[in-house]
Amino acid sequence: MNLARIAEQPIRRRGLFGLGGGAIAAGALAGCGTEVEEPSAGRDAKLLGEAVVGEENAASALQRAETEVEASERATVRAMREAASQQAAELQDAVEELGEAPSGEFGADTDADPLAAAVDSTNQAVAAYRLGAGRFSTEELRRQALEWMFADGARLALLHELLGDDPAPHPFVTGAEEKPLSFPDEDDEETGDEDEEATTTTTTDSEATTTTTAAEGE
Amino acid sequence: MSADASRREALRAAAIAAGALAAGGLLRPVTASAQSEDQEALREFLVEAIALEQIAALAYGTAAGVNGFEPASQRTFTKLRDQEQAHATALRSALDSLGFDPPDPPDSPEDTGVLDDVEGLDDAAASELKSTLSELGKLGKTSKPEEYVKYLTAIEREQRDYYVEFVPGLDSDDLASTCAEIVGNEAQHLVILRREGGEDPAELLSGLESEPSNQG
Repeated sequence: MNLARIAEQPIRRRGLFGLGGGAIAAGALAGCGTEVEEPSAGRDAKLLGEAVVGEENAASALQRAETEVEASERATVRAMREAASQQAAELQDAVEELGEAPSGEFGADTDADPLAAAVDSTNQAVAAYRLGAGRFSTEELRRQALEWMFADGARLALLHELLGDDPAPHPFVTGAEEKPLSFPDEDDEETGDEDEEATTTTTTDSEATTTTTAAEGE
Repeated sequence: MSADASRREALRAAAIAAGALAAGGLLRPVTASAQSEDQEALREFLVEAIALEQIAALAYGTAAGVNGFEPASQRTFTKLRDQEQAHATALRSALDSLGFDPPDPPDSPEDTGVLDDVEGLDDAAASELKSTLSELGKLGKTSKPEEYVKYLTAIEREQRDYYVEFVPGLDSDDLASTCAEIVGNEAQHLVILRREGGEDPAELLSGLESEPSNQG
């Protein structure tokens, strides 16, 4: 597989490992001989801290949303806000157990639509869980990452519903903002369209440079 | 497009994905010392996960043809079928990259033979999967929509529980991350199913333990 060629063309992502960030990064790693970073408490704290920021900001945005949504939607928004706060507290505890303190840009953008801001912040946490599921240094944290991912997947579905969007737009919940990678269909050379099989790409960390380049090529 | 044609298309996509994956080195082990026994563990995990995803895809495709559902629900189930197939495709690609054959997808609920003598799938797991598949067959096309919602909810939860139990022990961070992405999507499916079943999906927000059982 010619990775450079793939990076240059619009591709619909069907082979997750083959065409996602891991694959491209793997190719890049193989090429330059870079070592894969080993799990460590320091990296755990960094990922957990990123998730704390995401959850805290989501809770703030949802608190603001509670005053703006229709009465019929308020209970759902409140439930989401409480869940985000609870998750932030759990994450905070996990960070403190590692002897660290989360850092990042706390505080919601008050100019943005609060529900949309909650989506963005939740995606930030999702991106951390996604990486943590494979890279946290303990099985317990990796299991917890999956549970947090599950909760945030449900939250994203509800937020999308409230925004009038598809609650499950893609088969893979990544937290990434860039367009899905795609791969030319043998029968359909048309580019730039997302069909029902298109999925989101996978990278948000140090692998992102290569993958983002691929996505931006669309 | 008919359900059969769509499934063929999805399987063709799986083949493309497997070809793309041939670049290799994609199931990157966490530790450099990971060798064949780790690959065997990955295979066992993947084979069962693929079988579950393929059954789920068949189940959504079947539900999409049930007359008792509104057309909008049928369209949603078709989309969710494709998403389950996308999960299966990704996992099949991963298994292929390890040099193992994936289990064949069932053509129908009666097609339990595809789960016989599958390398990497032990007898107990095969028996459970056959039972899950057979339950779908018992529903039939005349069953009430709520029975399908209950079945689909159960299989989504089965998948989620499978990933949460086994993914943390996998020696592949790429695969674990991908499974996390799938878990997030399964949560979205459960939100949709709760809506379909007239239940409050907000109960899913606080994680796994507090979710009430929806299984019969």
